[in-house]
Amino acid sequence: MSEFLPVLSYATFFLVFASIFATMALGLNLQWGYTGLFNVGVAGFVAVGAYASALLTTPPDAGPGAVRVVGLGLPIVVGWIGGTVAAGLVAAAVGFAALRLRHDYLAIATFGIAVVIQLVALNAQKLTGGPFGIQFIPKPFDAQLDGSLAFNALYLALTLAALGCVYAALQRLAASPWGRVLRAIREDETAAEALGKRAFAFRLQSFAIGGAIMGFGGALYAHFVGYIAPEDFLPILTFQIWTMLIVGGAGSNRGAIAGTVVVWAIWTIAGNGLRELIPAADQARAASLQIVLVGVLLAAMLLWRPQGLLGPRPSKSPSA
Amino acid sequence: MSAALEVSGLEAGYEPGLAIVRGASLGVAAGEIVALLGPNGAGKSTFAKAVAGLVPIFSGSVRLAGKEIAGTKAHLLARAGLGFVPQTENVFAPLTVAENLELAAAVAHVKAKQRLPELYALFPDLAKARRIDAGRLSGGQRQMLAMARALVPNPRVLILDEPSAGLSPKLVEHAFAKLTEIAASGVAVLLVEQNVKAALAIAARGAVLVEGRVHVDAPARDLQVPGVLERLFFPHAEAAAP
Amino acid sequence: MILQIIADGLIVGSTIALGAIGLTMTYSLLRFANFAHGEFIAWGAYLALTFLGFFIALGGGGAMAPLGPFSFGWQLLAALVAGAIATAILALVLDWLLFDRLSAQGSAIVLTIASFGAALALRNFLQFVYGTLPAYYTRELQIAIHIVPRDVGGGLRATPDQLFVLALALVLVVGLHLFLQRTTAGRAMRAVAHNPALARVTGIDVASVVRWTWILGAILAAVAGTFAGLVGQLRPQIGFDLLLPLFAAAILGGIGSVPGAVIGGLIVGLAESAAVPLIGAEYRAAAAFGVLIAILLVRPQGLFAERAK
Repeated sequence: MSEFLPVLSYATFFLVFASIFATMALGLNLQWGYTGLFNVGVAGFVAVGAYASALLTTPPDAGPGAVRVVGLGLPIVVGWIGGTVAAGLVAAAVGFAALRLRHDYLAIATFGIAVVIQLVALNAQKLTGGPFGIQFIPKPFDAQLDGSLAFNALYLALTLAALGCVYAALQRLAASPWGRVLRAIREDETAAEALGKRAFAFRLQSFAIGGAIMGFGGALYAHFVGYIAPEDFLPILTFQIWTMLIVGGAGSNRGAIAGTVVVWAIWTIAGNGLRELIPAADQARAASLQIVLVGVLLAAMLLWRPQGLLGPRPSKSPSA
Repeated sequence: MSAALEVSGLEAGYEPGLAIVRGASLGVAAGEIVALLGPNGAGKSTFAKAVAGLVPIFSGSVRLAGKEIAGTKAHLLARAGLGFVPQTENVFAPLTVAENLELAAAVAHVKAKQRLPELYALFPDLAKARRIDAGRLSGGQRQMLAMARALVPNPRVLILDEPSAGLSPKLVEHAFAKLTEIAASGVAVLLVEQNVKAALAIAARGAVLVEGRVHVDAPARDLQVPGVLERLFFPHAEAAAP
Repeated sequence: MILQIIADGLIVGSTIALGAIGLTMTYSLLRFANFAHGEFIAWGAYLALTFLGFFIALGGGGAMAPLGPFSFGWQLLAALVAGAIATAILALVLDWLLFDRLSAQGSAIVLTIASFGAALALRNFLQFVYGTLPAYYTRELQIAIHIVPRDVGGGLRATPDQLFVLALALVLVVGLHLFLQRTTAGRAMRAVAHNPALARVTGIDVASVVRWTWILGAILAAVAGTFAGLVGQLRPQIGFDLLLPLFAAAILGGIGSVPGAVIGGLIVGLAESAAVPLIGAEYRAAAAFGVLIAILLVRPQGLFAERAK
């Protein structure tokens, strides 16, 4: 029995991350899959959720030499809600500036906001702890469980439940009149133009809700790991979530989840494999190669199976 | 006599399996104006663009002066003597009138110094506006520039997609008079038009395209008889008509 | 003080401008925002470093003998040219492998996603090849020259290298402008950017124009990268860090406008330089974002967009 424990522990660990990433991928699927909004700043919205939740729940650094002076020590649930709302608000602000314009301007604006959020995380030391990040973020359940298999298992149940709730809510939204309007806006530019200002409102709502879901994912992450730093929210995170969604199939919530598991598995295996193959001195380089590999995977999917593993068949577009 | 442009059994469309032009055949002789008519959505514009190389051809044959050109790239067709004037956005707005024409001459390896004065003689309005950005021309001048641009490489065939669209009746008359002049110089002109009356007034023949096929190809005067075209455009409408 | 801020802004801005020109040209011709453009800058800078080593070895090794007041010798100029050519080849390969195939499938936004993926792959491959430590073309120390004495507007100092960068950028920009306005190839590029279908029926080989646009954009990017490395240091993130200023400059100038990209680049450079005393050096990069959001809110078509219709 005891030799299975590390495997089991690793499996729960793997699945906790998979379900957190899947939550983020669902948020992106609402924005891109359903509404056609191109968000290159996923990591930024995740960071806002994670930092907001951490700041709401974690007391400030104590003792001499304390860097971070902000922190409220509120219950974790408050943190989750706060993180979700904060990311949604940031998404709404970015969307307000860029959603009226050409679709690729939104991509550039979201790229920009992610860069700025990264800058703030790195430099606003009193708020974010700077490069050292925020430590000792409270974890749910009994403090005795911390780091154990039992904690991982309980947290897995929590993230799976969260994922299930988000999934169910999005499925209902997609089937609702609101979801049908989103699809119409995405599929048909003339329909979107006919809606005029209302199309903008629909896009903005979708973008803000998607951003909020990503923020929620960030909050889930923060309270599992217990420690966040700017380097957790680099563009590579955005890229991973995108690859998960594209591999699974944009436009399908089930696809987003399946893609997450597949890509996260490939990522993990590739990482372990490269660590085995490449001498310890070059480990930093091995990490680079891991990213190259997933980049190639994304490009290959776009080229040869753009609808993803489970995505809906691409609708015929009249424009050639 | 072999026609300057000979299209037979043309099938073309934007997506494979979704042919919009479905087996259309048509010939235009040198010096002749042929009007391609038909109801909205019959595939007239797609026909013209397919011949010009802008829309994929699935099957059938297109011959330019006897030479098969189906599947040839659009820019090579333009250099080989097939002029095409699109319906809208048919000039390079950021370039001046002269630059529009010089560019067309340079890519077709035509001497601009020789050719441009000939075109300015044909379109005196353009000569006056040669230093003006094409984007600032009036609708009529713009149509003239579009025609002149297509004529730069001395094409054997000139295809125009709805040149009368957006022009006042007086400007249409002026533009079509130019077309008569162009045809008289030996160019085969295929005129895709909604403005049936104006088109048949200058055309030798009219071809009626319905549902992707040429249903009738007749002398223009036969089509000018009142009521004939209505019946040809809407063959199924008779039963429903009051 | 104020003069120095302006001078620093213009030097940074000239690098941004060179990068933004390539970005705005591929943007208007291929109709997608190419997030991999920053990596052409980084690869250009690093390829020049590799060629520099090669040329120095060719000249018998040892140190590079500086040209006049500059910190570098002929080897760097040769490396600049070789690096630019190699970067152009890289851009053509990327187009052939990825963008050309994807644009045949349609959607511009898919191209943007692909370029985002390509950017990360290229950046990390660069990191894999060259490592993450900063590198320099030359260790030669340069003394800044006093151009304006201290008592006038706070004075103005610049190194010969900085003046070289500024001058060469100016020459390139003027040359490119003349090329686009006066030559057939340049006019063909503007024609394709304005209306690809009309360009084809006019007899322009659009595929060839697209290739030349990649080549030109990549060359300018490589030069920008080498300049950035010359007046600063080489880091694998050099292209990524320039991406936001590049986009801000291209949009500010109006997509497709080369003079716009230049002026946009200089404005963003000045904004970054002016931001340092205002919000601190660590938030310098946020200045480009501020410019971007302001232009999106106030005048999203940019300052000098070529007449669309």
